[in-house]
Amino acid sequence: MPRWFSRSILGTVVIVVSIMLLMRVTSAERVELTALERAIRDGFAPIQGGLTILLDKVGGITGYFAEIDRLLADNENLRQQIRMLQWENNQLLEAKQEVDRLRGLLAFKEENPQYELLSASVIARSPSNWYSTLVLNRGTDDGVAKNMVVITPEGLIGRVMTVSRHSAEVLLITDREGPVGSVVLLQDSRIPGIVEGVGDGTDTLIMKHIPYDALVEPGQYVVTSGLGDIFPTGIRIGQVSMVDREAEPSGLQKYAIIEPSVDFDRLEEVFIILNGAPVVSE
Amino acid sequence: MRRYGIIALLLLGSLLLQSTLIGVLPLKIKPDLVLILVIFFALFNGVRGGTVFGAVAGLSQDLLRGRLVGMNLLALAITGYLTGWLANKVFKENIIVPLVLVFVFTILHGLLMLLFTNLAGIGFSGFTALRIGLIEALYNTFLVPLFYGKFLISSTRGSLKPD
Repeated sequence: MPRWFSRSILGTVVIVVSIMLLMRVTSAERVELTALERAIRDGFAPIQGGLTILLDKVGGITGYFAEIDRLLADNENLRQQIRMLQWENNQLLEAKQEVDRLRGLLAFKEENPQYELLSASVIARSPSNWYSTLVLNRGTDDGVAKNMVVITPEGLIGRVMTVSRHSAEVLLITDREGPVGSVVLLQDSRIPGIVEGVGDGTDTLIMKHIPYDALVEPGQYVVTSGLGDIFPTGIRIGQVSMVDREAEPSGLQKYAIIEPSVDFDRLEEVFIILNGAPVVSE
Repeated sequence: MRRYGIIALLLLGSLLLQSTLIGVLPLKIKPDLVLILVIFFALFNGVRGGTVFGAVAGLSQDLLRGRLVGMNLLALAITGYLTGWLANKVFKENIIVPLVLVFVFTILHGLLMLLFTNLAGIGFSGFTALRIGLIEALYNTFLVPLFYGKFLISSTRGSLKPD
């Protein structure tokens, strides 16, 4: 056996055996690391930590650039979706409000079988500040005639002033031309008066010709009296909001300010009473 | 002829906007587009044009309403007449002129409406009429800068130029 061979064989065996011994020693569950291992680990740990953070950052930055196109596209898609959903939401809210209004009208129609009611939509409003009118999409072809009464479930609107085949103009009770014979309801006693619009651009009504000694207080309801042959009795007009203790010039009467039951700015659908004026008390 | 067609369209548009878009604005007192149009037209067409156009615009309003026909006719014809009478005495290229005229003549129109409504037995109080006239005048004046430039150019060099 040549000398170099025996030496290398011997060296190889020693190395292999040493490694196997090392494997054997380190394969068992040791209680603690060796001093060398600890030193190496402790030396590497902060470097590893710093490197990991650094790589994360670099990865994040490169990832940001790599992802930006996709993010921008996603963003635009989401914005479009939001716009579409907002539009759909508006449509649904609008439809819901319409359904609520129509439900209210239907319920009112069922609760008041004595009235032959024709529903109508508001298509235009008075073009001037000097009178308060509405134009409805119903006319003589639908059976509408002059002086028919227009109401909503909330209360009295006015009466038909002029009518064409497909439209009718309604004189609102807030107009200076549309006084309504009315009765204040007060614990079964009925105090008569005349309600008319102030005509100052607001919807405020004024109830005139109340006997000076009549007990009228804020919060009382005012309804139509049925006098005057146009308005049926018992339709709500509004609530007393203020009573002027000062008498009218004659000294025999006083007046009250009435807050209408109907919000005249938000009218969209109304009813026209097609039949006469049946007597219904509140 | 084209000029009359355009002014008729403007009047029609004003009447429609007034009873629809302006009508549903959440304002108790609203601007009056027809009145502004009458004042603008009278300013460039003198006494005769202003009076006639005021009368036509007022009659249109009256016929649309179908009641007390003549009230708006008179009020707008007088407004058109007075504006037309002033037309040659003022420098129309200065924006201050239409601003002042629209403000003053809106109040004057309000006073005319007060007079005519009382004659018709409707009976607005002077205070109410003044309040309506004053607020309407502010709104109308505010709208002048939006439309006057275009109207001035059309009336001096464009399709609304008097014959």
